[in-house]
Amino acid sequence: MPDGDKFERRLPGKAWKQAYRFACRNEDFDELVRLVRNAAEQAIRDGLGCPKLDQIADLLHKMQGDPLFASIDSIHREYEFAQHLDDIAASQFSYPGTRLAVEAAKSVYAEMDSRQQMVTISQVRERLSKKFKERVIDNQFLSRAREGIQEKIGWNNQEQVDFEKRLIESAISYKYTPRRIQSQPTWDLDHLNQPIPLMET
Amino acid sequence: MSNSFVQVHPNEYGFDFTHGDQVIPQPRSAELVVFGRYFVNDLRITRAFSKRLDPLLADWIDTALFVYLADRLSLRRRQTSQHYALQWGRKLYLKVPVRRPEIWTRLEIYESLQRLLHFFTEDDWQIEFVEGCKTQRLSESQNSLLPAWETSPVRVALYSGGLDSFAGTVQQIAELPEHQFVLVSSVTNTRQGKAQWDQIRAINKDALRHAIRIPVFYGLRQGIEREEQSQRSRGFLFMTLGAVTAITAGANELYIYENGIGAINLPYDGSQVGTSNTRAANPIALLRMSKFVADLTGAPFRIENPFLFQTKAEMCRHPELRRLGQHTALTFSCDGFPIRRKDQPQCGVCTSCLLRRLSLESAGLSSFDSGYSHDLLSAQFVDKRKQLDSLWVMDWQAHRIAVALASSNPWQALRQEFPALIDVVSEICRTNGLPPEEIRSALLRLYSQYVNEWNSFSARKLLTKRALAA
Repeated sequence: MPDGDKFERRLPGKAWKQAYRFACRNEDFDELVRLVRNAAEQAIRDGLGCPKLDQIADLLHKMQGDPLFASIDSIHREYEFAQHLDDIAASQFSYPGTRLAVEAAKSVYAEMDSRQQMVTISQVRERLSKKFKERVIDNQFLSRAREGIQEKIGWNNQEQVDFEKRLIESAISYKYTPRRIQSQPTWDLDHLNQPIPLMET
Repeated sequence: MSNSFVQVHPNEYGFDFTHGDQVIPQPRSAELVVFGRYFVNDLRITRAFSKRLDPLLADWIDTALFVYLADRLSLRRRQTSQHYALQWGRKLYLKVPVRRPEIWTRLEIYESLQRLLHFFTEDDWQIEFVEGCKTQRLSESQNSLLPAWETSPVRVALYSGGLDSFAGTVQQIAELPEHQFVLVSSVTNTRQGKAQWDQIRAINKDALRHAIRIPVFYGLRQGIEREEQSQRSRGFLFMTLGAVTAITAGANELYIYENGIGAINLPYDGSQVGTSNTRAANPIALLRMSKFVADLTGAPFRIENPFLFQTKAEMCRHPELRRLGQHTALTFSCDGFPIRRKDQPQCGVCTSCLLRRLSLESAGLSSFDSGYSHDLLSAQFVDKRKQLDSLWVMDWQAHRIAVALASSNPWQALRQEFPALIDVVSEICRTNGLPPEEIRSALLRLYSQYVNEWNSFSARKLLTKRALAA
């Protein structure tokens, strides 16, 4: 097997390999986003899911809003937070994706802590869910294939960072909309006042 | 709507250590076909201090050895396999005979041990302690003919034979003239043992001191067909041997000399999660191990790394090390040491070799840096892609650190990029009662220094060459 394929061989599963081959061509960015999103969803379905993601989000939210945590200094709070996350990870031994969720939670914590703004539980859940997907894409794809992509396209580190940022942001905020919904008209008052086509005939 | 999550069950292994010196896999270890005889020679510890080994300390050494053997004999899942990606953890069941079961079965000791082992290995350890050990080892029964050990003060440190342990020892010996140094080395092969011994002899000769070397040989008597390469529990075994030596010598401290970058060991990229990188000298491991020792023995105990906030290059810049610079050639850093090649015991391309080369170059000690199978800094080096993987990934990590440090709030950016730092700071500050600002600024300085050293590393030109070729 040629040495040039070594990055592809590092990737777990066909979907990521396909995304890698496509990324190396550096052509259709939207198609790459679609491939990466599908591969990430498949990875999460196939064993990287974290059943306790909501529980972790609740914990993150409590860290901010709960008077019990608010009353203690940041070091003790962070220590308690890490202990709780360790316990969750230990209880989820058969769900290895929890390890990524725990790392994502710490990253989200650091982000929230730096902004010092109160956020709602749904905002925390959304942020954690996105960060978790980001970690999945990085762990399963980018970190295994990065060198190959850079080498094939000739990007330096900063160009690669910019590309990854754009790719991840597009892939995790991409919302799948089925075609039949896309073609449905908006149900505003004007539309509702239109005569029903069947009755016309 | 019901959410269904696919479970990926961890590999499970069981070992029964109640049959003399044999490792007996239990039925649940279907994959394991190894039967072996183990050994640990702790007689050197007791002889050095003219003492017998306390039964509780003998239990502790046994437990650490059994944990290490189970870790080594139990394969983790392959990381590239699609469905098992990330399922790195294993469930390990051990039956361990002890002399003091009433202590080992105490809930707080058991939980503290389990948590500590989980931190080192990310495995689920279920250990059944049973009364046993009818026969004593020589270290427990043999009286020494030497006079009783009364030297004070004593400083016990782990000595691996790596560049950090050499640099740390040389500095500390120069700075603490009143102390008697005791250097504990874990030895699994004769080349490693000889290299450690050559280094300590060189230190003793040039520094006109007599550091006592205690080599502890351990392992399996015969080779095994398949073994787990990660062996993350080694840190627990090394610290156990060091702490037992310290306690036997009458000290309540153990020292480990490791640069901060290597000790904290941040992931190089996102494919490394948790214990993908060793935690053997991680500051959290040192703190938790200290607590475990104190709980087990009922006396205060501290494991300390005085170089946590220094880079490896800074350790090498110490004047005393520069004076003894020629002996750095006796040290080894390679992950695969010893490579079976004449006069080239280090590979030269792994991350540990690269950090060593960077540090010696940065400290102006390159003239003593040789013995690599692949010499990246030589004009004859031919770029084969695989040989630059580690250089490339280290460059990527350094770039991420540099970007974080250049942001408007460097600390927030750094810990967002490397969340493991949140745990390091909170655990150090909480345990030692230190102000977080102090630790944060020390870490920022450490990583800033490292990035500066990395950016000046001459081997980086190979990456530029390759990029141009691409």
